[in-house]
Formats: sequence, C-alpha cells, structure tokens
Amino acid sequence: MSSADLILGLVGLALTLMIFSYLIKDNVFFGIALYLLVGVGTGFATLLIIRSVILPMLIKPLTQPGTQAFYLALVPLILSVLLALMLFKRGSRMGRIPLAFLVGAMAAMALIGISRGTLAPQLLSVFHRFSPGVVASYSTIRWWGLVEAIAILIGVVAVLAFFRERQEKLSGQSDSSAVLKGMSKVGQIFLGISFGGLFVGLMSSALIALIGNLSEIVTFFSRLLGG
Amino acid sequence: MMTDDLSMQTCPKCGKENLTHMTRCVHCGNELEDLFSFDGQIELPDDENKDEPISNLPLFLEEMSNQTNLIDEDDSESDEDGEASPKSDPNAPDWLARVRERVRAEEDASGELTKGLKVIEEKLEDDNKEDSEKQYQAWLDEVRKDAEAEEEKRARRLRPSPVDDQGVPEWLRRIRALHPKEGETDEDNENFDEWTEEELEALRRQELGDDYVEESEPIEELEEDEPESDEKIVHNIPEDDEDLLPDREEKQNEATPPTDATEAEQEALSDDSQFVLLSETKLKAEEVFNTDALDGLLENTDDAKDEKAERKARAKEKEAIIQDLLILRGQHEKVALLKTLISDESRPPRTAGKTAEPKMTWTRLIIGLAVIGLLLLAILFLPSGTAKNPLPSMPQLRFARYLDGITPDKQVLLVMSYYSASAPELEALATPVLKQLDEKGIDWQAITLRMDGLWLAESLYKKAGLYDKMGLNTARFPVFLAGGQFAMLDMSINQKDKPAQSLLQENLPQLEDFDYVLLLTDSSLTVRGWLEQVAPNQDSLYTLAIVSQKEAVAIQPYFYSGQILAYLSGNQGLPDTETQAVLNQNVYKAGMAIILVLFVIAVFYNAKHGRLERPEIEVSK
Repeated sequence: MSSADLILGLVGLALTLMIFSYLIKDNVFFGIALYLLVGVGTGFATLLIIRSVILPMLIKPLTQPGTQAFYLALVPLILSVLLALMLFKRGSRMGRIPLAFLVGAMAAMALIGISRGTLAPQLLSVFHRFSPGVVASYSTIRWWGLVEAIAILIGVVAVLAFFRERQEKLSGQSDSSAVLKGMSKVGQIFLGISFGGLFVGLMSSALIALIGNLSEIVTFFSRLLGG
Repeated sequence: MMTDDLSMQTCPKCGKENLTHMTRCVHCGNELEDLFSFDGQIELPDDENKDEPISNLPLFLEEMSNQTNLIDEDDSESDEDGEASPKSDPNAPDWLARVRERVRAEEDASGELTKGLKVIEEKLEDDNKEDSEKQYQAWLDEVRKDAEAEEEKRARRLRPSPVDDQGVPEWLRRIRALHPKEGETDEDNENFDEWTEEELEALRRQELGDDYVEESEPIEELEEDEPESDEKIVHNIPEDDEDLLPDREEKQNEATPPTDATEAEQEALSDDSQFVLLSETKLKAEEVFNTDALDGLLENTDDAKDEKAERKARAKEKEAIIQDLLILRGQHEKVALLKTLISDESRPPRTAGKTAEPKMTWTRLIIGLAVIGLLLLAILFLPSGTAKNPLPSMPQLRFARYLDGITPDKQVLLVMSYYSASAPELEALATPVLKQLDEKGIDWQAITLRMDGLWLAESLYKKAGLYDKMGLNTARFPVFLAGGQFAMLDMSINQKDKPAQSLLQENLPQLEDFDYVLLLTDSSLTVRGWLEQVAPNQDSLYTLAIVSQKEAVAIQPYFYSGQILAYLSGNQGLPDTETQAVLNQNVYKAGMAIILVLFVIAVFYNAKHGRLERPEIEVSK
C-alpha cells in the first residue's frame, strides 16, 4: 500500500466515522464533514464550469469577432450580465429578463417533452394492449397479458379518482358519488403498492451503499494489516 | 327614502306635504313662508323669543362686563349692525327678519359667554403668577414621590410568587379567587375554601402594600346586612374597562351613597395611593368650574381673605385633577395587566424563539451500531455468494438478450448521471456489461450529465478492468454535458446541419453515430428527461438503462410502453454473471434480513404507542 493510499484511506475512514457520529446527535464532527463535502463540491463545480462552459462556450467564441459563434455568444453574455445585476438593488428588475427567458424556455420544453415523451406513449401503450389487431395476432388468448392490461387501466383510472376525491375533500365538498369513493379506495391500494415498492427500493439502495462503504473499510484495514 | 328623516310641512291650500324649508308648495304653488322653519328649530311664541337671550344670561357676566368694560366696541358695533340690519332692508320678508334676529341673539349669547370665560382665565393667570413656581416645585415633588412608590411596587410584583402544592402561583390563585369563572357552582366555591375572607384580606394587605385600602365602614355595614356578598375589594376601573365589573359597580354605587365621612376618608386615601373607592368619581364639570367661588371672587376682588380662600380652592381643584389623571393612568396599566393574566391563564407557556435542543438518542445509537456491527461480521465471515438468480425478471432477460445482440459494428453511447453514494450499486451492475462490450470489441463512448461523473468514471473503469487498457488519452473518458435537459435537447438536434452549434460544443459526440444508448443513472428524472427530450428526435436510437433500485419502480412504465428496451436495477444484475467481486450477495441478504426485523419491531412499537394512526385531512371551510 502506497503512502497516498494510506492517507486517503485514513481520511476516508475519519470522514465516514464523522458522518456516522450523527447517530449520537447532530454534532460538530458531522457538521465539519458536511461542510467539507459542500465546500469541496462547490469548488470542484466552479472550476469545472469555468473550464467546460465559460471558457469554451463564452470566452473562446468572443475572441473570434465577426463569426457566427461570436454573435451567438453575445446572447448568453448579455443575459449573464443582466442576471448579475440582480446582485444590486437597482438592477434587480433587469435581472428578471434572463429569468423570464429561462423559465419560459423551460416551461415550453417541459410541456412539449412531457407530451411527446410521456403522455402520448403511455396512453398509446394502454390502448395498444386492447387493440383487436394485437389480440388477434396471437394464436391463443394471452390471458396474462389481458389481465395485465386491465390492471393497468383500472390503476390509472382509480388513482385519478383518488386524487379527484381528495381534492373534493380538501375543498369541503362532501357530496362525492359512491362510484368515485369506491374508485378512490381502489386507487389508494394501487398507490400503497407503488409507495411500498419505492420504499423497498430505497432501503435496498441504502443497504447496498452501506455494504459497499463497509467493504471498502474492511478492505483498507486488511490491506493495512496485511502489509 | 331620503325624506324619511326630514320633517315635513303641510300646505294649507292643497293639504299635501312639503319639506320644511320650502317657501312655495311644490304641488299647488301656494306660498308657505309662514310655515317656513329650519330643521331642528324650536318654535316659540314671539314674545318669549324676543326676551330669551337677555333673560337667560348670567347676571355676573353682565356685571363683569360693566365693571371691566371689556366688551369690545366692535361687538357693540356689530350688535348695532345686527339690530339695524333688518331695518336696513325693509323689503325683506318677516320670516327672514325673524331668522336674522334669532341668529343675532344666539351670537350675542355665545359671545358674552366666551368673553366671560376669557376674563376668568385671565384673572386666574394673574393670581397664579405669584406662587406658580412654588406650586410647580411642590407638584414635581409629588410626582417624584409617586414615581418612586410605583417603582417599589413594581419591584415587589416582579418577585417570584410562591407556588402551592399543585404548582399554581399565588397571583393566579388570587385572580381566580377574585374572578370566579362563569358556571362555577357554589359547591366549587366551597371547595375553594383555602381562601377565607381573612386570608384574602391578609393577602391583599401583603400584596398591595401601600395601595391597600381598608374597607370603609358603610361597606362593612352593608356586608353585615348582606353576608352573602363576598366582594369586598372594589377596584376603581376606568370607564373604558367598566365591562369587567359591571354588576359589582352598580351594586356598590347603589349601596354606598357618598357621605361626608366617607368622602373625607376617600379623599385622604386617594392622596397617597392610586387605588380609590368607586364612590370617588371624577370631578364634575360644575366642580371644576366652580361658579359660586368665582362669583364671590369677582364680587370682592380686593378682599385678601377671599383671595386666599379662592387660591386654596383652586389648588385643591388642581390637585384633584392631577390625582385623577394619575389614577387613571395607573388603573389603565393594572387593568391591562389583569386582562393579560386572565387571557393567558389557560394557554401554554410562551417559548417563542427557543428551539428544543436535539436530545441524545441512545436508542438510535445502539441500533445503528448494532446494524453496522452485524454487517461487519457478515462481511468478514460470510462466504461470497453467487449472483445467479433462479428466476430472473423480464427486464433482466431482455437486457441480456439485447446485449448479446449488439454486434461489433454497432456503437454504444454510455450516459452517466449518478452520485457517489450510488456508485457501489451501479458499478456492480455496470461492470459486467462494460466487460462484455469490451470483450466483443464494440466501440463505445461516454458522456456525463453530472460533474462528479468525471472522476466516478475512473472508479468504474478500474473495476471493469478497462482503465489500464484505455490509458489516459482516450475518447472513452466521459465528456461533461453542461445544461441538463437543455443540453439533451440541443444534442438531439442534428448537429451536422448546424455548424455554429458544433463550434460551441466541439467534443460532444454526434448521436447519429450511435445505435444504442446505455443510461447509467440513479435518478428516474434523468431517464425521463432523456426519453422526453432526446428519444422523440432520434427514432433509430435504442435505449437500455442501468438504474438504482430505488428508481426501478418509476421507470417501469417506460419499459412496459417499449420506450426502454430493457433495464437492470439493484440486486438484479445480468443473469448468469457474477457480481460478487463488487457486492457480496450473502451480506446483502443478511442486511435485508436485519432491516426487515428492525422494521417489524418498529411497526409493533409504534402501534403500541398509537403512532400509526393516519392524520386527518384538513378540510378548508
């Protein structure tokens, strides 16, 4: 084991113990480890942005006046200057221009993306399972596939009914129909199963991360003791 | 509607109603001048109306005006003008003359009153000049004494109040004793028998100190007559706060008519304290402006004895007014304090601004250390298990099938986006895949959507055994794609047709060159972003994914819709491959068993303590 590996291993071990000290209570060691992580991450991100974004995408095109890249680079430059004006009280209103541009572009992109990438394909997927052409393409009836399709359809409708009924409850309306209430109960079952799956996945991921870190520590000590 | 509140007059000709200020009937045109009157004007006979202003004037004002000749000539001129004015306009109607006469008479009356008051004020000022400094000094001394006494009382109040067996402070018991709640029965009062009349009397004497006022004899006599009445102390609460003790005040006012003896006692008490009996009310207007004394003063202005007497009377009045003001101020403070105490009685103690210190939870520490210890034991002593799953899932099988189907002439783009915390899990899944790609000789490149992916890639390549093969100068090291979903969308557009954009992103790989995309991420948002921004623009690109177990549920719909061909997640790596080099499967199973046991214990513990009840939805009304 080299001296660099030894030092890095000891530092990693110390930081791991500092993070684990949160089990006792929120203490100064936990805070130090946390702030160290934030500080190192911020410094790394700053350097990387300068190297990967500002220099190649802003400064370099600006050094080539008259080119198309030069004029294109002026747009983010102006928007960045306007955004920087938000640091001052008088220029805060000017800073809204790039923010408005950013929010508008994001909203448009998200709307189009969700429509094309999620809503339409998911709806088509559900409809496709009931398509006569698809059902007829098999020599025998695919019972399991049919059950699966029905379950998906019921799940979608029931979850929508649950949110609808909850919204009515929140707004004080107590005259929900019996069908809506029944579908809402079914929707709760589907949601419960989904959240249960998410919870198990979260626990599984956390356990794997813990085992991975403990294995690293064990390996470090075994290498240290083994020479 | 508007005329409801107006008085009306009836036309003598047509008999219909008109407004009082109309001079002609609006219905028949008949003149109504005889009936004309101002709103609120009192109609009096002409004879009485003429004599009214003079007969009602006070005699002393007339005498004063004669003696001092203080009536201005302008006024007399105006009077003359006023008298002459009706004569000067012979064409004016009779009603107008009467109105003018009435107005002039009222002006005269008010003018004489004002003049009289001015004379009184000037007279008083002249007299006060002589001993004003002495009086001012004496008044200042009194104010200082009062302030010192007030400070002492406040300091005495701030001392901690003794607490009884039930933890109720003495001041609170006193308030409860003085203000029994509504609905309390006599039995309740009887149960509250720790406070007898004598004890309450002693407590009042002790707490109020100088402010304590012994009950006067008439009240005691009244109590003897009415033994049921237990209200002895009477607070002189200002009129603004009379609603606190409405019935009690009325009873006291009715039951204790002010006598000479009690008035003298109250006066003596009020000199030294801010607590006075209810019967000592504020001075009335006629007492403040003592006209009798002033009459005497004005009649014998040269008499020294009368001057002295008048001075004394005035000083007395002044003291009474000052004392009254001080009392009012003190009373307001006391009433405000009392209101606050009563309103805060049932509320929890105020702890605003204080946050609870995080307590050391030994239970949490012990459980955490136990889990870590058990896992360490499992890592040390459990043999490495195989990752072969007897029942691989459909996504696993499909992933293996697509991976096998990738030929060496295809190109694969590896898109990385995960935190270092997820590295062990994702590296365990990705390592066999990268190994297989390398063994097949498939060309592949990598990009990262997160900054830390640059050095996380190094760890991944090392575990896959590719780092030494690639060396330092290789195109397989990931390129950082800054801009998130914006960058994805930008990348998905055909960059070959847009040279300006290619200038901005020189090292970015061209999506048209690739056949497969392998997403390596711990976030379903990255998968969704790729499928929403890139995939619709790149129909010929097949998407595979390696995701963290916690996000597997979220991307399943995309798998069933065919947008993702296959995926690996969590512990479900490639079938027929061994991932134990990265993750010991037996340790994983042991860890899951420990967590399951802890979860069951937590559920039973919380159920026993009633912490599993669902919170009710707050319905907005």
